[in-house]
Amino acid sequence: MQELSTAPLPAPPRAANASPWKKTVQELAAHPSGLIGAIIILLYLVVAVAAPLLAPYSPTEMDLRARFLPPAWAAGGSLQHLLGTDQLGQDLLSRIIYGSRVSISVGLFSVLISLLVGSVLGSIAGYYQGWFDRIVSRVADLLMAVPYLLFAIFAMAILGPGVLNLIIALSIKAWIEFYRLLRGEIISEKTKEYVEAARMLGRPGPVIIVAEVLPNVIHSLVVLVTLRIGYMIIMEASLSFLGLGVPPEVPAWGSMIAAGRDTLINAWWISTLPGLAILFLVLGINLLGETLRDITDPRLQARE
Amino acid sequence: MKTIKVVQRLIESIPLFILTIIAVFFLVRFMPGDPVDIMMGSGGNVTQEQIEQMRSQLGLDKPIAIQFADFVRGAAQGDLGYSITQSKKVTDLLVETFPATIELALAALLFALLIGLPVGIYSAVKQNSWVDRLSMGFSFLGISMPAFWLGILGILIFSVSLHWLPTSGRLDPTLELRQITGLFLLDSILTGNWAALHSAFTHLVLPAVTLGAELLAIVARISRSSMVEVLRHDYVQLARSKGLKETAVIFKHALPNALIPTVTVVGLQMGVLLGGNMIVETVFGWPGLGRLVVQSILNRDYAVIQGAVMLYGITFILANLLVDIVYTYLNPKISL
Amino acid sequence: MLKRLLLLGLALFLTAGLLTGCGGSKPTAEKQGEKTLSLVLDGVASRQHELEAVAQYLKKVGVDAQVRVWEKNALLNEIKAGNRQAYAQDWGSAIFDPFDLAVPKLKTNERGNYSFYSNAKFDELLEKGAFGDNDQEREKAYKEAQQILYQDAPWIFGYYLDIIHGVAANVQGYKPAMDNRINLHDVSLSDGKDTLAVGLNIDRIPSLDPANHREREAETVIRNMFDGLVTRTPDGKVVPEIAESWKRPSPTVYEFTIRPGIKFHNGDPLRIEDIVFTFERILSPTGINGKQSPRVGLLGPLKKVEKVDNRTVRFTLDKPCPQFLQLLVHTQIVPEKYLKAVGDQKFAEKPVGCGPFKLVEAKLDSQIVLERFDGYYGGSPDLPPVGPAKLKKVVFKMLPEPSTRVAALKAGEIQIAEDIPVDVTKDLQNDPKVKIVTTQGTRCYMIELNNKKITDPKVRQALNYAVNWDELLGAIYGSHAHRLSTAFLPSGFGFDDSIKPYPYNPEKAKQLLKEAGYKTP
Repeated sequence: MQELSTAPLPAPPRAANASPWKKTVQELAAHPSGLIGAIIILLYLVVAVAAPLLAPYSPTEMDLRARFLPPAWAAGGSLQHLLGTDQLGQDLLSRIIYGSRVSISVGLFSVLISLLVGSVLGSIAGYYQGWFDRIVSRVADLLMAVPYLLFAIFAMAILGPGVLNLIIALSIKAWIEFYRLLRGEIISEKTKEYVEAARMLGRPGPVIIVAEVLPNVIHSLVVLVTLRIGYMIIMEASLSFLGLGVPPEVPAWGSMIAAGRDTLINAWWISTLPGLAILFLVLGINLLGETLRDITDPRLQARE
Repeated sequence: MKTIKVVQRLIESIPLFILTIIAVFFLVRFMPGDPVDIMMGSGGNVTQEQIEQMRSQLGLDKPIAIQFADFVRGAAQGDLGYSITQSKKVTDLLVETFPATIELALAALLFALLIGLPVGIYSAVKQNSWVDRLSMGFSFLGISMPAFWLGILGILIFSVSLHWLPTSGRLDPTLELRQITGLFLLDSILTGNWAALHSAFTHLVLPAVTLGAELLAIVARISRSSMVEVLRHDYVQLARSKGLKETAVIFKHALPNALIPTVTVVGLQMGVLLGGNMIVETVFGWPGLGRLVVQSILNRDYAVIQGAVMLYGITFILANLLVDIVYTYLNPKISL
Repeated sequence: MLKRLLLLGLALFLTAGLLTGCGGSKPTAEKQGEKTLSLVLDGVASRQHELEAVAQYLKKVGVDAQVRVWEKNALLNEIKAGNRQAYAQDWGSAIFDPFDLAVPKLKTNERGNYSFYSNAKFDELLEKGAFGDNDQEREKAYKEAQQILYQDAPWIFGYYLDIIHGVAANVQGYKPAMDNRINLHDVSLSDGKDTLAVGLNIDRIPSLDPANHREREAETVIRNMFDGLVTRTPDGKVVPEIAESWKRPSPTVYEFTIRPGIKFHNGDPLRIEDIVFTFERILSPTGINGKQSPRVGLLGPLKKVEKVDNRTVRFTLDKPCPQFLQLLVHTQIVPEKYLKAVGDQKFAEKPVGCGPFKLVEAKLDSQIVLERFDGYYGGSPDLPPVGPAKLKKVVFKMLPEPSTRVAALKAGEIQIAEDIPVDVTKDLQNDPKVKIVTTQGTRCYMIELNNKKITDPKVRQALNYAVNWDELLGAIYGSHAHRLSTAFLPSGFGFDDSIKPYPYNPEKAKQLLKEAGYKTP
């Protein structure tokens, strides 16, 4: 990671490049896995935004006479409930479709909060160092020594249920990576001549940081953000699985898996299918993230 | 020299460790819920006076500063307090449950390394072969899956449908095993108890695979990419040009260098492995520390949570230290 | 250009996230003239489905009902602080008397009174019912209390569930007990095998010391190693066990005569001193490891235990306690000499009782292995057969996951599985190797209402009329849930079966809501 920063990106000759779109499309086409990832994510986004239009039923609508219906392709399934129904006769397809909203927004916002907190703290700590740096770095070390899940469970128990609290609970530890990335970059960048020169010219510190350092780390940040979103979606599911997730007006994939656990033997689909939904979304995110990493820095790809 | 460095590092981590303990001590008391009331459960007829009496006996009615002083005094003498839900000393509880967690984590680690490394290296050597593509595809699946879901699928397929593997526990109840280390695989080998070895192994397979799947995927990916990079280096080319056998080139020259990033990542993942135990142990009814911690949090059993976090912290620090030592061993140029 | 693409991608992600994030929030109910009754139904994840269904019924009568799922103790904290409106709760009763259900749940200021219900007349009747010394009058008081409760409707009254156990086809003589005990003394296996394993619904047994736990499953295991003065039949009747007979010379004095020739597992004979010691150990504030036994609440108003002669022990109470015999079932006799010799800690590791099985090996977090005690005195004559146990070896396995418990039963790893989820019973019924056995449970499930916030009894009644419990329970629990008219169990003393549960009547519910000033469709 350290090497990345030492070589500032050559400023792209903007005017000369008439069609940036063409080029990026070409680049993406050269990395079909990234394209596939992007398409998967796009599909999920469309599903999440258009959930009310796409879902055949309301996610909370119960039909107590149609409980435990298997998916359409299994024996006893019907086309009315393509993916079958759960313990309350709720349509599994509709619940999975609405569940994408929770996963995507929780994953996204927890990472964005972490990004914001991590990069602000990291920039300050890296630029000024001193006591602030020492304290924040110690806190980060402290958080690292306790298993992530333990912390999330703590946080959910203290904060109580709710989407917002869930996002906070997930962000409590996730900011550290962003913090460390930015802090490291800025420390190594700070001593460079051009930063010194800028300071001589009387430009204030924060401006230097933003103007000179951030553009160099933006790629690593974007890659990290993408990959972390995938991880957060899995964490959200894990918390929901332990019963510490979101309230049920919002069906969440993790709690759907947990709810089907008791009836695994006679209704496998209730647990299995939401898991597949998680798998494909996170797969898409990871594919895109890795490809972004490959495109933005070939040396990074070589080192993984 | 090296032992001095190790001791130095250990000493450096002490303030962090103490800080963690203090943080957790106060954090658990922030959690809503009254431990004594929870212990009495939702049922029966216990009067408020009896609850108060119990609270004062457990010292929970004292001011929090005094409770903390008591805790520090006890901890200094190796007494981590008393579990109110398990009616037992916390140290005894930790000693009981920790071997199970270690056995599971080690098995998962071994599984990930034994499969992940060869696959990664082979994929690097035969880049873009179908093996490479297939294994990298699978590794992508591995990092995109919630572990608990994989565990549930495993139970569904291998236990419920095929009856190949047991659903939970560590040992068949009809078998008896004399415990020496608390690691059942090791104990059954040490005592020559082959029936127990078989049973312990079949019980371990599903949880270990579930816990290790993500790490396996990561190891395979890292070892592949670092191997690819190393193979491009001049000294490897030089060794080749000297007419050394390809296997010798790979194992003697390339592998040690390629292992370094893998060790780093595995070290970072040790925390995940221990923490991930919580869910896997819950799914498989594995009687380890993770499950105990989840239960203790839900029951507000303060002393157990504190003790467990201490143990997690120590393990984490030691694991990192171990990684550093392995690191220097692999790359003598780096000093601790 | 790449940079731009990345930033654009981020922006797209952001907007999409914002869109979906906002999409999740609900439009607030419009207010025109009359007010709409808004109700948040709180509960833990296991009641989520039920609450969702209840919310649907409430919406039909114009109540804006939402469901919120909590971690159990975080919710309880909020409830006790009076911050919540309506919450799914449950309360277990162990002694077949409203003494440990209606009293702690609904009497003013009692420990379990989460609904903040307070009615002086009701309190008085409960006092009379719980502590009076004439059973007829007690019954009358309890019945009158139920009438009041029905009218006041402090809760949305709920239901109780069947206890459902799965049993392998070769198990003989096993009856599930209403108090949830698993008595293996009378059980045998038809195919001549003599080892039986039980799957318990618990993570770990806290202790094998009969006086140092508050866990039903711990008592299940302990009860197979230890006997009490009295015991219970599967349907809840108290019968003698170690005691041969008893007298009640006055309302506050009990005298028990014990059977001769009872031995502990270590060969020591059972003496009156052991009985006195057992109870004094629980009563003492420093009885176990310098701490008070958590089971002191199960002794009621017991004041003094003393030896009368070599076969008689006398119990003196502070005040009359009609439930005393029922309570005594939950105290098991420990050997004084052995316990004093080894200490509390060692005793919990290697317990010695006088029950039908003795301990072989205990791993409290995975399994407990017992074997037959051949010197057993035979047990209660009211629970035939009398004599040593038929099984040679029994194993209790901790299997907290319902699906693993069921799978273990189907695979033959265990022969008795506790707490089978209703949804898999149908599946198990088709399995010739397994049978399903049931009996009534003694835990009451309900939705408690915060009576300080929902003060109008009309509203509370309306909520009771609005829910179609029969349809809901039938769908979720099949035939295994039974409605309750109030907070009294049919298995408990003084139950009034002439009171029928609130019928499903949405029209009546709307009318009552309208009278209370709320908007209805």
